[in-house]
Amino acid sequence: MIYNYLITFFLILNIPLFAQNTKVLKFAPLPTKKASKNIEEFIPVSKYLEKKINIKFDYIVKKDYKDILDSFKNGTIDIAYLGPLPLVYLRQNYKHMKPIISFKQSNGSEKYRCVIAKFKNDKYKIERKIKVALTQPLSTCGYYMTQKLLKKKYNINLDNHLYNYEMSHYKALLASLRGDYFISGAKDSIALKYESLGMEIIEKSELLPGFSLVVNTKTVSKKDIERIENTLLSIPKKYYKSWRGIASRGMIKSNLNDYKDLEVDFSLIPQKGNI
Amino acid sequence: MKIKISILYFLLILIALSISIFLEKSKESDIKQEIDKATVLTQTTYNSVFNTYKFAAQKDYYSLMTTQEALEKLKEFKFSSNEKRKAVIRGELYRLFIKKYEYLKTLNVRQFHIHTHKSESLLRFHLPHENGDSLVNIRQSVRIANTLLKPVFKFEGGRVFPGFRYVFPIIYNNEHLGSVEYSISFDAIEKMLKVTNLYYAYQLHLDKHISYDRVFKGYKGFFEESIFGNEHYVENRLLSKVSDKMTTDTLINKINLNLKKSDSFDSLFNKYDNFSLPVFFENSAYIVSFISIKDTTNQHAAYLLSYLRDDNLLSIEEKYKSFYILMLLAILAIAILIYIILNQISKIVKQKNLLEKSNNTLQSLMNQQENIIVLTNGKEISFANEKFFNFFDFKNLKEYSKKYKCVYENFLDLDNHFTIKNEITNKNWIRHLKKLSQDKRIVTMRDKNLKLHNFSVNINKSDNNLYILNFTDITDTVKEHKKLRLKVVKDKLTGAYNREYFEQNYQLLINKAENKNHKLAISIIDIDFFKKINDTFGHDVGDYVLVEMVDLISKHCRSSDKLIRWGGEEFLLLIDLENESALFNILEHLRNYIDKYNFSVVGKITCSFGASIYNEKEDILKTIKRADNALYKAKNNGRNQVIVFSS
Repeated sequence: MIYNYLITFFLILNIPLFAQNTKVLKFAPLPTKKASKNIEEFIPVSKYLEKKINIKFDYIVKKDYKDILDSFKNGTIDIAYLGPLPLVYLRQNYKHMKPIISFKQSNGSEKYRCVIAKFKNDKYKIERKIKVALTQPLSTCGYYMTQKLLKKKYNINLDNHLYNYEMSHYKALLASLRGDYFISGAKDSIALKYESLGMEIIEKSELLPGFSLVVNTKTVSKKDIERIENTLLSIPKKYYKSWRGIASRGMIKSNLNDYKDLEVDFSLIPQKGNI
Repeated sequence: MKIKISILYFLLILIALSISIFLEKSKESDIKQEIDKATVLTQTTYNSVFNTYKFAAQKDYYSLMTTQEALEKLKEFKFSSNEKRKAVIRGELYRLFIKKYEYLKTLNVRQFHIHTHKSESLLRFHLPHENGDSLVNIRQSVRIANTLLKPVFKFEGGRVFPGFRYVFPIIYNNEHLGSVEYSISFDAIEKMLKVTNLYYAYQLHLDKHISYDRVFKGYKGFFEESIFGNEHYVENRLLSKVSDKMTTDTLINKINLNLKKSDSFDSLFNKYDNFSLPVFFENSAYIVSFISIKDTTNQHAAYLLSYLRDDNLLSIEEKYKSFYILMLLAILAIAILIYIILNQISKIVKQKNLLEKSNNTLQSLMNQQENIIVLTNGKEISFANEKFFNFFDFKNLKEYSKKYKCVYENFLDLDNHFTIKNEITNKNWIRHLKKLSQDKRIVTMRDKNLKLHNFSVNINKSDNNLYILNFTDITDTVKEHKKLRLKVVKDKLTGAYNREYFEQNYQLLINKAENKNHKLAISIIDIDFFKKINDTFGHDVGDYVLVEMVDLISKHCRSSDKLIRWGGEEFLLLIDLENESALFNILEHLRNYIDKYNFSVVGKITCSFGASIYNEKEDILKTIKRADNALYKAKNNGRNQVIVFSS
């Protein structure tokens, strides 16, 4: 009986100590409508981190990339999952950020491409304005790259045609598949999935760095950043292969230099469509 | 006695236990009836909701089967070997039906899925880029639809989500083209269940084999272990609104924890059959029903849980609680009553023993008394001493009571002693006896030898209208008294009555005669020339003559006639006359007899008689006066004659 009391007493005294060891980081997934889907991709990752280094994620869903940027600035977000363009956007507006991990593509490569795709049966008619389905304003494969690829393929200016933000690669592609749009701008790996539905990729971009985990260096200590980085980079293959989604492809250490070619004037990216 | 009490209390405990068991069984039966109703209701409601979706799916299927364009595309897809062409067909089908799918989503259809005739995924509208995978070993329903060509309506697991499946084969112009599936999520089922039946909540707990074990590895995160153990899972609360609500609902959590504590829960839960359990806490009662949902192989796939607040259960509990309390109170009351009764019996027995002892002592004491002692209420005898029984020759009161009701029946009407007659009845005799003075409180009874005894009766009131009658035998005293009385009223010399007697008894004699409608006559008898006898023979001879005369007259009188020595040689004869006219003859007869009699010593002597008849209510002295006048006349007429006074 006394023995139990002593143990309980000891545990109570050490609650603050234990509490201190479990760190909670506020994590912003992709600001898509189905944030839960994105979160589910990170569940295995966060569970692994919690198990290994007592760091757990608390998911904070933001409505868009601007919201994520503001949250970085006011310290309410510690870590985010970002594509290249949003990363560059963040870097341009907030210096206390650092990409630590980039996720590989589904085919195992470290980089990806943006593409424009359309339904095979749909024909381009030069005299007609086309409708373009885009992902998000700050999505690399959104307005920024689609504009370039349309120029390359059809020598047209996206601003002279109709476009709208569908807020995700899948939605953008599905929108064209549905027949609501003529062309979609999306990531190559995602667009390839829709080949089995008759979507064909008509133009590709150069290789771009993958999606990354970006930490807020103001709110996360150097030590913790290092610990997260090392832990994620040392996950055995058998583990991450069993996971679903982006984490199952594997991770590499991020390199800021990969983004140097992505110098964007964000003021020129329209925040909403023109339809 | 102590053993008897122990046995009684043991029996009482046994009865209490039996009643408790009976009440418990009754309560269980009542509760079972209530919860069985809930089970049936939940099952029926679920069936109804499932069928509602089935009808909706059937309706859409029939609509699809009339869409020529779609059927042609499916036909082309089946027979095409060009993968690129198939991809385009897939896209065309998607374009053709996307609006239908969006409409179906508004009807809570989660998945709209077209399969090839080989049970491969042709087009998943919820995940269009995931296609071409074989479902033969994963989806029984798809396999059955494409092999047996019959529709399948069942709950089934899958690679992504388990769901409520409605799968139809697509047959066009006798050509089997594939199958189409409508799949409903539990959230949709739950929504409709709540509309149909206002239960508090519904939940779905999926068997591990059809959910967690079956889904793609990457989708395992969709499921969390059920609170009821690791053989069941629930959809992740981040993905299911129902799960999210259930996980944060404190009431549901409390109910579930209580369920797990129930003794019968584990055995029922592991049977994979329908059951319900009551849960009581915080002044509320709930019925949680578990409906086992089977898959296409008729194996347990999931439990549908319903939570119903049922105040009837509380009423049942309250009802039986009241019964228990009543029973306990009744048992307690009976126990106390038994205790009191036994205590009283014990006291009574003690008292009875004491009383018996006292009675025996009293009896013994009474039996030692010389007097007859009786305890009576006037109607019957409660107690009598030995003397009483010996007197009448009875063994005991029981024997006496067979012959007599009470002692008053033994009182004889003699010597004017107390007895039941006239106004004195068997109901008031004691009251009358009490009123008498002690010297008059005398009764005469005959003993076993028929000998008469006189008793002086002493009355003392006991309690409860009982009287103690003490009979003191005064027979000798009465005899002596009679003797004394006789001595007082008799002439010492002759033995005839004296004047004292006349004074005491003349009225009695008058009354006696009148009672018989007779007359009373008074005759004065005077011995003629008595002085001469005295002078001649002396006073001694004269006294002897008087004695002889009284003797002579007494022998020739009736017993009712009274001879009184009136004085010297003068006698009064009181005669009870039936007939007035007989008076002269009676007296004449007597005179004649005296006249003829030869007295010893003196020889012949005569008497003169003067008589008169008593007139009603007159002064007796007047009657004597008339008799005296008549005597005077007899003397004057020559003596030795009878003169009756005539008015």
